[in-house]
Amino acid sequence: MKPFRSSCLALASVLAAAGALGAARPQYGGTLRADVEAVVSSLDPASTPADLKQSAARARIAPLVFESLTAIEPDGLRAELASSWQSDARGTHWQFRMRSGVVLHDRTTLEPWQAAAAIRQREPAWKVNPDGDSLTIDTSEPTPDLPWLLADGRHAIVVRAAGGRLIGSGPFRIDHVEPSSFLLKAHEPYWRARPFVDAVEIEMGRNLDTQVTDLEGGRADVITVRATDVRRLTRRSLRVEASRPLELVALIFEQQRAADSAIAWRRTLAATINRDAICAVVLQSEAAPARTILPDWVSAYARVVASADGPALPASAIAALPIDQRTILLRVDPADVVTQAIAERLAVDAREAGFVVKVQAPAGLAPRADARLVRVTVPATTADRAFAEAAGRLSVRGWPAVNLPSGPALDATYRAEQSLLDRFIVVPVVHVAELYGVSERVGTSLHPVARAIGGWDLADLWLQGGQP
Amino acid sequence: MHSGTDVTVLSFAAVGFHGREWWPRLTLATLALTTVSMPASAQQPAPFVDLAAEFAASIAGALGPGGSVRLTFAPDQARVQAEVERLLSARGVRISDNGDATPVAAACSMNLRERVCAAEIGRGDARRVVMTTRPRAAADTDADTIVAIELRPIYTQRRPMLDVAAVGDQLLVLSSESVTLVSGATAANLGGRPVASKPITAARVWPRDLRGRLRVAGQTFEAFLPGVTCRGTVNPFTLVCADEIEPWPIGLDNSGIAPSRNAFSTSDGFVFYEVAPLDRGRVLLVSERSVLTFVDNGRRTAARGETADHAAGFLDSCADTPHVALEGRASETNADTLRLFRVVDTRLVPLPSVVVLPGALTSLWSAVGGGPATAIVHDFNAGRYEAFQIELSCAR
Repeated sequence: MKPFRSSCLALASVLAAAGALGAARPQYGGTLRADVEAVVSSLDPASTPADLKQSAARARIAPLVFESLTAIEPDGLRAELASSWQSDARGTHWQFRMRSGVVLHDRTTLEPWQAAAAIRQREPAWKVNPDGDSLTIDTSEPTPDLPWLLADGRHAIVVRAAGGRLIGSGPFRIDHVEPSSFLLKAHEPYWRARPFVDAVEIEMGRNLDTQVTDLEGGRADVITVRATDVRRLTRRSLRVEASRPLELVALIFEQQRAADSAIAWRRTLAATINRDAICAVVLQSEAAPARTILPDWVSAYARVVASADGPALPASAIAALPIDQRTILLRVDPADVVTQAIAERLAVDAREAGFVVKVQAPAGLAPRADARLVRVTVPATTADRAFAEAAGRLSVRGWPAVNLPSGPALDATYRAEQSLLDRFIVVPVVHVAELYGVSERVGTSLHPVARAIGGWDLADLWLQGGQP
Repeated sequence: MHSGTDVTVLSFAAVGFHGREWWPRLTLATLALTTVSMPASAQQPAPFVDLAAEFAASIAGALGPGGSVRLTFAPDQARVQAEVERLLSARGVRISDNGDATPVAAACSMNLRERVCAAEIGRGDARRVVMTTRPRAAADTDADTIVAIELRPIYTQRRPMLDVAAVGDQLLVLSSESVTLVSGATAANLGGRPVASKPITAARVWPRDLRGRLRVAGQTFEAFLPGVTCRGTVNPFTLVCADEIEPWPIGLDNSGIAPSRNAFSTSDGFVFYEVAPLDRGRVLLVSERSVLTFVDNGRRTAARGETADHAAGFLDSCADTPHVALEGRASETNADTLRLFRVVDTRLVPLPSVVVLPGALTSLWSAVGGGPATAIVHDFNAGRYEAFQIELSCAR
């Protein structure tokens, strides 16, 4: 076991701490401008996002408007629209007591029957009924982690009004929707107190290069930042805030390179990866070296996952390989400059060991690749659920096959992950934080823009020049 | 039925820091300045000691009877490691540094749902992993754990003082000339009411940087000054002084302070101004030229590096690792500050908690065996000396 030690992600901590120490009395008012990359056509949790980018953008915007019975916070599960809950021993019958006095965006009070209807629509197999100030849920199968499941945005409580209008209870209400923008207004009677800003204007379809120039040009207050852009922004004294490491960048060998007989070859290639250099140089200290699928803050067992120890090929053996076995065609997403930069660094490291790695970022048809470098988001939830979701994103085309945990127990997740890593078909490289650039207009407060477990915290932001 | 959490979410909601609660929190009479650490990847260690028994049983079960292990833990988990070692020994497992012993690499950590201790036992094909988990309670936090310095004023007077110690509900105040017994010192009246005073009779001239320390045991007390030791009783109030160089009660064996000097020395050659006790017999010394020196329990220098004029250690802090408060300077006000650091191995990890003192810190004494430290501050503007008790507040 190798203890996890990294100087990476240091900048994020420093910036966050500086923000905390520089806390000032917040002011009310103003319109906050935020950019997102994808165009979100609907915030309706019942609709399916077209792709991962749209899913990521919606995951940021929707919680501003809609809330769930429970919420996942950096320190675990918290009550949100439910104030408490209990279940039977099997976890099939649940009772959620609703928080009283929650005012919806149409100024009516949230009733248990409305919450029941919202969940019933999402989970038709469940029996969901209001019961006084509570609602009861009967699942057909034991669901001991139901409160964790309900924290997912897909189970947000949405009240459907006439004309298909969606009504939520979050800190902002939808005021105006354009094809490429949302205007959200502060929800005055919000149960956790009104946000500081009066409105949030979200511009969609802004690619990451445009977002940086929007921030630099004073046209945006909050943008998404790539790790490769951090230095550029901090040199201009713009704030960059980071979440915990949320995304896994991993090397996946394709089927023709995945035979058991080639495991020493894969292990040898994996051993050439200089994670510290990738993290510190390529990703400008905004990432952490990864030897596991799940970061430790999600699994809590990362430090006992076996690393890439084992017999590797000596340099002479690599040199003696036929050229086609020494050459690896590594495919990356042509639209993702971060993985391209990592891939180029992998190629340098591999070359020193005698391999030839050719980075391929095809826009169209291209020769069959030997491996892919992919970036997948690890959701902030229970380890079994996070692993299942990450595995689903890793094996998006049915490859590689991943055995899911046999149950919610942590050791089952550990075994599934260790088993996947032992094959060296998926090789974790780094865990990357979610990064946000913040304009000088945004006042420093004790709450950072970037939530530790991903997404924005816009209700706690305030703008300079507002009212005390 | 399993009970869910009945959490008052408002307490950490939007009004939590920015709204009505925020400003009053900073104006608490305790003068505590508390800042919340950023939830980031560098997590605060949590107390996993309650998992130790089950964890040790799992390791012992995996080893079989009569095993011998080489146990390593994450470096910031000394407390749980010590407990696991104790429990393994009680189960007949021998703890060894020998290379022939089975390597057991363990770590305790926390995910969003549970607290986990995991151990890798053995290597290669014989490798096994055992885990012990506990559901994470609502109060279990990692990065959100707040550890802050709290400064509690206990006494103030115009004249310089060297140390203040509680004796029952009264205070003993040590100055260069006397030991004074003070009653009725409260938050509303920090001056209290001097009820008795005895002069320190010494023939010698005090050094320019005079230092003094009090030790109270029941109704008796001792006052230590360079080259002079005084002994007294509270009731009746007596004091007898003698020219004696005695070890001072500072948490490290020492030869006292020589007359006309201001530094301590030890028989094994350390010369230092202050000592902050750490865990497992380790100490952090403020050595010559204010260099901070880690000394291990074998009285060997483990590390040297940063500098500070004053340091206090907190043994019974809430976290799994010791904390120290180091003196610094607030650039805006030119006042002294105390900044909190977590001690991880021989590294000082800065925490956000900083307290700005009302003036210049003249004395800082760590408590021996745990408890609050004592600070004496010279408030130039107010023209007085103030005594504070310094503690760590630990909110989860």
